Amino acid sequence: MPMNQPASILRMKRALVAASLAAALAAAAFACSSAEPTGGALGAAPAPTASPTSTVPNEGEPVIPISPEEQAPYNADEVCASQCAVDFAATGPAAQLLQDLDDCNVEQCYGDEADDDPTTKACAAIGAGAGQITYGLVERDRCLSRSCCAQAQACAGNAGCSALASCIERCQVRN
Amino acid sequence: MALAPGKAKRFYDDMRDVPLRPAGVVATLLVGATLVACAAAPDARDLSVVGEVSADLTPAELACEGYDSTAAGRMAAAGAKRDGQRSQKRCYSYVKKHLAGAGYDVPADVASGGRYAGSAYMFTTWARKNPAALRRLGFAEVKLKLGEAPPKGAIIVWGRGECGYSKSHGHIEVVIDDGGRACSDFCGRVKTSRKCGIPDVFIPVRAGSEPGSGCSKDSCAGRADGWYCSEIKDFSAFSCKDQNISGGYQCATGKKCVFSGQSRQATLQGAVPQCR
Repeated sequence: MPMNQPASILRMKRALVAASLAAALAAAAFACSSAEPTGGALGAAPAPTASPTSTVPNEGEPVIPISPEEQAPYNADEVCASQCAVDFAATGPAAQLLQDLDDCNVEQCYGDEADDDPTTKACAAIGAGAGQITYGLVERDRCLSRSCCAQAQACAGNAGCSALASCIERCQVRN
Repeated sequence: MALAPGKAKRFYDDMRDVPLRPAGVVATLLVGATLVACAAAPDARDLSVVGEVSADLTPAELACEGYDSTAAGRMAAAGAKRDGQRSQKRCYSYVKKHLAGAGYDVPADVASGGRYAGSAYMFTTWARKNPAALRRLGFAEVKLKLGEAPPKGAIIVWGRGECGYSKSHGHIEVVIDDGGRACSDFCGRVKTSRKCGIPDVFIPVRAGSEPGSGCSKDSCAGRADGWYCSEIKDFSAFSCKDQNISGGYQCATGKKCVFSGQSRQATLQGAVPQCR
């Protein structure tokens, strides 16, 4: 999502999505939906869905997403990210593309040596601008530009993946 | 440090104009319904002054929570076996191996195939949802203050997308020294920059200990040998030896025991506590 949108627009979008979610969730109402309409060059995001489903496996384990409702009483910091997963499809290409980028991040950028490497390399898909993906840390984005640009481009070029990534990033900003 | 389910919030200085930060989450469980309300409110805290880790938890604070230094050593040793390895995308799996290697019985919900086995961030949800099980496992959650380092042997959990970690799964690791390094399937520095905030922290605790059971005032638990001013009577002091009270001292009428720091270590005048 473009991070430079006026606050009033962000509020309005949030309200609209919150309303649709409330209807879909019936018994659950979320006043702070993290759903994030997108537009511009990346096109429209997938319609929000209220049905968490299995996502790609991790560490050989099937990952059954924890719903925002289950998170709320116990792990409030993760409610937002769970809502992102609900809104932007925990399954399918978007999640897989983000998983691919995450995998590259984990393999290439988690080590101290990657953090300490000052080498920069241009990658249009990495950054905090519209249609770009950021992981919130300078050293991490620098490493992703060096080592994971292809995966970042694939995610940034997919409306759902791009929206999911920026939605989760905004959860961190808000938290 | 205190037992707490939450963790410090953070935001980036350049994002302060985004009015979507929830000031809090109120969850009320009703019959068949859940309501989550997130109020948008500006966060007045300015974390710009927060730097790198500069202070560790005191032994007294750890003892207060029932910290088990022996078990912590086992956890650290198990984790340190991964030193020198590269990340293999299996942080959660290896933290469970470290638990098993340190002699813990990994709970079924967290073990392979369990409901909370798939993603690192799920450990926190499981732990908070099942506090008794967490205690049976031999851990307790503590909340660090900004600037405090997680203690040796602690399990620390980063949420999804937090601190540059996986947006899909978060990250989990075991602290192998006094807050500086941690290991999962690989080892690295514990990230403490102000943009990373504070991870969820679970410390090894003594079997059978109750939360806060080691917090009794004027206790020598976790304290180094020496004199300490009383928390109960400001004119009194007590001496600790081998974590047991070995003596007492009282100031003259109208005078108070002089101490420094959170540990209340007495300032000495000769061989006894100074009074003023």
